[in-house]
Amino acid sequence: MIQIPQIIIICFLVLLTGLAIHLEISMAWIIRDALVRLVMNGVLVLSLVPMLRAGIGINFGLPVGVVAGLLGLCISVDQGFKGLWGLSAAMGAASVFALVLGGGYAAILNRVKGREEITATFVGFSFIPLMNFFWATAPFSNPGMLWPIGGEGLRPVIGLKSYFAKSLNHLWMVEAGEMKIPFGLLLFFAVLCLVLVLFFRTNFGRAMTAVGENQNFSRLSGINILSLRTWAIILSTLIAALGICVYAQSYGFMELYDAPLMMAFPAASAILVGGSMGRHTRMAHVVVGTFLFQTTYLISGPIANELMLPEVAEIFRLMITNGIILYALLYEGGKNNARF
Amino acid sequence: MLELRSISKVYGSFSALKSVDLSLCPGEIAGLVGVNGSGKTTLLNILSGHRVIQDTGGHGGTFLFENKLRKFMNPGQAITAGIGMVHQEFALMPGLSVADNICLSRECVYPWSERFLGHDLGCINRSANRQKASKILQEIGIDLDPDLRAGDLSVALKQFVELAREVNRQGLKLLLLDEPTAVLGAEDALKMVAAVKAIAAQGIGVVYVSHRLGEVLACCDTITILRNGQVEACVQNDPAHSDKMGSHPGGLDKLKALSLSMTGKSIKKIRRSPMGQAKKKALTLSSFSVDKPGDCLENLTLDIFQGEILGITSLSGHGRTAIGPGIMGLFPARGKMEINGTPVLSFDPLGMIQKNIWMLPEDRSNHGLLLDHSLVENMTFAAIQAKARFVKKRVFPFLKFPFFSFPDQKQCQAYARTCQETLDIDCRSVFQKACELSGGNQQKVCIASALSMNPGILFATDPTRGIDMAAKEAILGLLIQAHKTHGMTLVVSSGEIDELRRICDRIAVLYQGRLFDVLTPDQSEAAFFLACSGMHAP
Repeated sequence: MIQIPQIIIICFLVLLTGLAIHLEISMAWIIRDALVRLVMNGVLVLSLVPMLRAGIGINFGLPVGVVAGLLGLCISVDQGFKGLWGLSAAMGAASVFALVLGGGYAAILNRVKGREEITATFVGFSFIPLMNFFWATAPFSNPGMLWPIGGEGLRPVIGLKSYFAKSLNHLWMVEAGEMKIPFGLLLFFAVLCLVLVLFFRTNFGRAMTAVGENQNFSRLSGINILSLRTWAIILSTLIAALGICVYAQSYGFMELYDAPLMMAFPAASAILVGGSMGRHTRMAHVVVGTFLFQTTYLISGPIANELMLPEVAEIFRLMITNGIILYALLYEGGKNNARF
Repeated sequence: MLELRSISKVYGSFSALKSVDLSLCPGEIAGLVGVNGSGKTTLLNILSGHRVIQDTGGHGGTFLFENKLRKFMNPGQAITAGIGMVHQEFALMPGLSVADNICLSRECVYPWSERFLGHDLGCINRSANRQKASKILQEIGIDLDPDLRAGDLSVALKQFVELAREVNRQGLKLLLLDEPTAVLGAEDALKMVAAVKAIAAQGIGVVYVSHRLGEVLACCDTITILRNGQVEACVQNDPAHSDKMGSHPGGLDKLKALSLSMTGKSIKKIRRSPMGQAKKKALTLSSFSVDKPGDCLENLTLDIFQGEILGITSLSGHGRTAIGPGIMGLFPARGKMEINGTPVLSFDPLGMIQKNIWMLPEDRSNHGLLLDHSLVENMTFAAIQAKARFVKKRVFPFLKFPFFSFPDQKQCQAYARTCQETLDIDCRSVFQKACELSGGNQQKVCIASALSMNPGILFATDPTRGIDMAAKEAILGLLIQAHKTHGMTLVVSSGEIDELRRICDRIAVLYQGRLFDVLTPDQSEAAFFLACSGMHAP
């Protein structure tokens, strides 16, 4: 599973870790934050899997799912729900929105078989301005969410501190000396991965994988391809909605308006860094990719500060991660064409 | 001109070729025969400079072409040296005309534009291209309008266009043909043989690979038989003495001897005696039409009786491969259909599966298999999805969501193992990927999948296409066996009239997409050939 791109990025990560130890940056802090970031972004990355497996491609329309999640979060905050209960309520509401929005999104993508990725990108891009209009006029009443002056329209950034920020992060925190391991958060991610693994072992999940591999065969086997694709897209949207809930509670804020616009790209990068090759995407790709991608991001910041060369580490990080994405795309596209 | 001395090729620990010798003079046709996996394709790959040879460590032995030692790194070098190859897969541009395809990258340009802009940027002279293409088509004896779109042609014509394109190559000295007749009906195969002879008459050496021994006898000067990567025998042949496909005195004996040395055992031809007149109709088609590109079916009215084996034949492009895919809804179909007296309104796969109808598709890799999945999954997928066979019992029977049902791996594997044994599938294990199997074994996997559906009516479209003789007889045997034990009604579409005559109760002959006649298998071969060309036997 580990190939050249993964080896390069692992080497880079080892180098960074070495530097971090040399500069006496706390390892306990690095490990804890790396684990938190893994789950914080991992669920969003996980949301790409159903569509990849069903052969629809990378879900560049991730903002649709993110918006569904934000709607759920807004409702929960508006009602003033707190703690884990607040987060669960947000996730529940988000799921309902994800079903509806995912259904509509699927209807669009099913019309453009073969050109889904570029269509999805523009569905995401055009959906955000539409939602901006909604956020500016949404009928929410919690003053903590509204513009302080005028009292109408939602703020671009809403703090979750007094609601459910870090509620999942702090669940069952295991402390060992300096080290703090967010056990509840990791468990949540593990369960989600496991559910998805099991899902792809059911007959329904197998049919989805088969549709991704060979639509003619699936059709002849009596499978309704459009409905399978619709379900894959809804599932991706649903997991993305849950993902943004986890992300927001970890981050402590939820960001509205243009914030979701570019969310698909880091997620797509992470899964490609993990070694995903289209239909053959496994949970391991998600976990490994997110971990490598986010941890290099995490460590390079403080190292750059210590070395007083803030640009250099960032430049290297962007060069390596984006270079790997390019390599992954080239490798995937070139595998079949290399012979000619 | 071509001299191969102790050529060997090893893939990993598997040796595909062991010390193969072959020589060829200009204008000579060398036949290369052998069962699937005997090393024919590997040898052609070495000759044509296929990348896979160099990527896997090159080959051993001496390869002399025109008295020069050769080691091609890529197909481009082989083409420059004057070696052309016609592949089994069609490499035509579907959107371009026949003339454009034949002249592709060797277009005639107006001399004035060539003088100013060079050949690559020159202005293409379409009428000259058309003339050149028609001349070449004439040379190989095909009557075809060079302005037709390549994508609209029937499979057989595409094969001829591909041949014409290679022949058009300047400086062509050696032509490699990899089963050029695999997709052709008997009539077209004769044309192909004539075309190949015409090419050789121009002084071009030809290496002719085919499973059809009759043709090989009819056109080759030498026949090299490969078995397990070794030359089993190399015999001289006089094609002039066998102008009608092995039907001359002694031809049959020659065929038998050839097939014996190919397989190392004599192949027993499957034969079945037709059953008496069946009375009960299983399926009735009236005014049934299918718009399959290149192979349309029009206004077919036909009764299919319970428990019979019905053959459907025609020349390629005359509609024989349209019936199964049309009924299964792969192509737009119109008309009336009744199953056991109940009318069927729409043609879609799920509906047909529920009515116990199943099809062995013509295009195995695109329609019949999940190439990236294991044999177990391929054999059981359709039954699990459409018939809920091999499914674990639900823990909570009231939960009727599809999300909660899992395949029963034990049952699936047991079924796959039984099939591997009964159908004699040659594979390392049932977890091997379907793409790694040979054509014949892939077809057997498709049959296993069909048996798991336990259909009442099975449509098999060209079930023996592109597979070797031993496997062909095995497939026919399996179909008859399935017909007997499961009591299914079998509709076999095939261009191989000989095969149909051996297994069918009745054979429907189509001509220009319409039903021309329904013949019984005991009628003479000539009657079938005539019917295929739209003529009644006198």
